Amino acid sequence: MTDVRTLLHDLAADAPRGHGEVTADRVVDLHRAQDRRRLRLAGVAAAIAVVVAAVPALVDRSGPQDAAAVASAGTAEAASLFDAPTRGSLADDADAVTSAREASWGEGIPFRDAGDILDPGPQDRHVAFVGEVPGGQVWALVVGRTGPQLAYAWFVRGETGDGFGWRLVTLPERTFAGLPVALVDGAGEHGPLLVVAMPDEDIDLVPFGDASAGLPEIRSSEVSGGIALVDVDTPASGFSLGYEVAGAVDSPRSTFRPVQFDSTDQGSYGDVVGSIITAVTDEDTGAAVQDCLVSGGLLEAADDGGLTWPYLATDEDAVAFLAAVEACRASAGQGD
Amino acid sequence: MRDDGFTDFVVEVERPLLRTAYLLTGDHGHAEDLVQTALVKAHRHWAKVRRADSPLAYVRRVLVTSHVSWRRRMSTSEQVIETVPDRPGDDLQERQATTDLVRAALRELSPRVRAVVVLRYFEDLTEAETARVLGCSTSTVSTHAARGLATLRRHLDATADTDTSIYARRTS
Repeated sequence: MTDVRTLLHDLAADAPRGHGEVTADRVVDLHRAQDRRRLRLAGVAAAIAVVVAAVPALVDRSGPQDAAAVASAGTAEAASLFDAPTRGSLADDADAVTSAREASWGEGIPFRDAGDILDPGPQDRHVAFVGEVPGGQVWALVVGRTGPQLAYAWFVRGETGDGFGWRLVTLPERTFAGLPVALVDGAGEHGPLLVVAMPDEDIDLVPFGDASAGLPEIRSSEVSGGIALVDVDTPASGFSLGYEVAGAVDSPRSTFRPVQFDSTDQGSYGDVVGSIITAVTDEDTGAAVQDCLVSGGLLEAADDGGLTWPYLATDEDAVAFLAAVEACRASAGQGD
Repeated sequence: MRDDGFTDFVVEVERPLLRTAYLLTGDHGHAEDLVQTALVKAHRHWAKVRRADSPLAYVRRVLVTSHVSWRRRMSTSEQVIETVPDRPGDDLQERQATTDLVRAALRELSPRVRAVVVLRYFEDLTEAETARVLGCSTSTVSTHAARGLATLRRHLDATADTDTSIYARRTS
């Protein structure tokens, strides 16, 4: 019988060794950076007489870290997309690269609990891809590092609330050294799929799912230098084109599923956040609106006065939520 | 002693935490991220943590629950849907081949089942202690442990069919 304990201890011997006091200093720096962000948000809240600044989903995300703290990191041993060169048709366009690197990681999609994902400052971000994808959209993949933590965010260039620029289309997610990432636009009958792996890795596209229902057709694909630009059918229910990456650092060969978004969804999400803030901060009726939303189960009030609202997965959900907010405003006598 | 003992605490527990985190994640960067996250939470409540019977147990619990939470969140977006372990080549060191095999086998387990296996058979926690860490019942721990061992054995046995030399050495 296999000795599981022995096998586990053998494997654990390969664990990183740690950095002792350096780790302790970095942890303290991170904690303080999170507190500074809390204070900044609290200040903003006070200025506009709002309680929303205490929303846990906002305050749990730390701001840019001290340069010294981040500089002392760099502990990931395997290569990651953070270290890879910028690729894509606009990789040599300094304006495009700079603007993508500086684009906000916290606006454009609904706030939900980002958990422990930190918010790296622009100086700690790297644009792994920027350029056109099949169909003509311009996408950017930005990878950020906070200590050993790697996270990434996808952006699409187009109209935003502030004009023309980069729009965050997925919530920042963790990633790890050796892992590729991918995004697919599921808006139409077919759309672009972009896979970003390390430059020396090969990418295989792998349709999967219920073959009797028809696997997605790959209309075109261009795979080179760890980048796959694909035009692929969008199945009626769920996406079923994965990708395999060969050559990843000491990792098993795996099939991944891309993150999916809808490029036609210009998002009522920003409206949701703004609508809530406007509604609950009204000097005369804000408290009544908040009570209405809380009693209706649309908001949750924490003990510290913060408010949270549910994750709105679709634009329809956001529209419905907005309608409910308006109903509470009307009942409280706010009216437009 | 600086930071009310926090630095000394980190120096003492970082390495064992990294070992646990590495077994949970199978990745150096991920493991360090996980440990850093758990330690930041510990520092936030350090006054309380340092008075606990076992500060290490507190941080270990945060580490394990953070890992399960991360995996759950990642599973809604991008995830490994199939894992096919590389077959070790003849030129690889035997020990490396074995650890690769075990790492791949652990990836076959769900995050919670993997956590149970690591806590029970690496940390040598009792069923009751494991249940406290994961916030579940001892019967759940027992079920997960049995399921985890069975899956590991099935995976390792299947691999052995194609690589008998490794299996023979591993089980000898």
